[in-house]
Amino acid sequence: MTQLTIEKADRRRYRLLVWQTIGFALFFAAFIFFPDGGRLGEVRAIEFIRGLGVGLGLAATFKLSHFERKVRSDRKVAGALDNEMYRMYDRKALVCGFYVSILAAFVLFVLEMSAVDTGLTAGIIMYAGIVSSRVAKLIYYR
Amino acid sequence: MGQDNLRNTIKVQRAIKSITQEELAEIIGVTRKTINTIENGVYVPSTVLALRMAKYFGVPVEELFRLEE
Repeated sequence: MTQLTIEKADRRRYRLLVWQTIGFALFFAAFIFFPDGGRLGEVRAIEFIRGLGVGLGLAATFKLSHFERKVRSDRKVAGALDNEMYRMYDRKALVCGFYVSILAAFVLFVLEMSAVDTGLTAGIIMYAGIVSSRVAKLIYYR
Repeated sequence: MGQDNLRNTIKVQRAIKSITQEELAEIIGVTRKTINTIENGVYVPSTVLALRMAKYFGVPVEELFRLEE
């Protein structure tokens, strides 16, 4: 495979990661903040966002796994796309997600949101951590 | 103790060999972005990658990378 293919593969992976992140962020935002589907009149909008998130997320995940299977057959491209720099970026993005989770927990604590539903609190912390980690990864990969 | 900065001469070596970042990336087996970040000092490569680059350019690794106080 040529470098052009490595570059093309790199760009394609980035695009799929963007769509996957958007899908995940939309779906879980609707799921965490409106677990019962929202107030009357909002239900359709929430359902639409949730559906859109699921659709985008699943399509991107399916394409990404298909793409990774295809790339794995070419050792050079696979090695280039998983080189030490990207592995370091992955670790940095995870660390970023971890600290954002702690920050979210701290903010919720300071704002005395302990009265808020436990599930929602856990959801907000988890959401902040995962989404920030994904966004950090996209920024590093850019 | 002062902050040590890693300087490199990859751009010069590339110019001598007349190759682009993309071509170097292909030879070394990384992406163009990786070469770009190393060249701009954003990313410090591992010893293995540094040695691979030095081997390709035919220079000692100290000539390719050096510490600057």
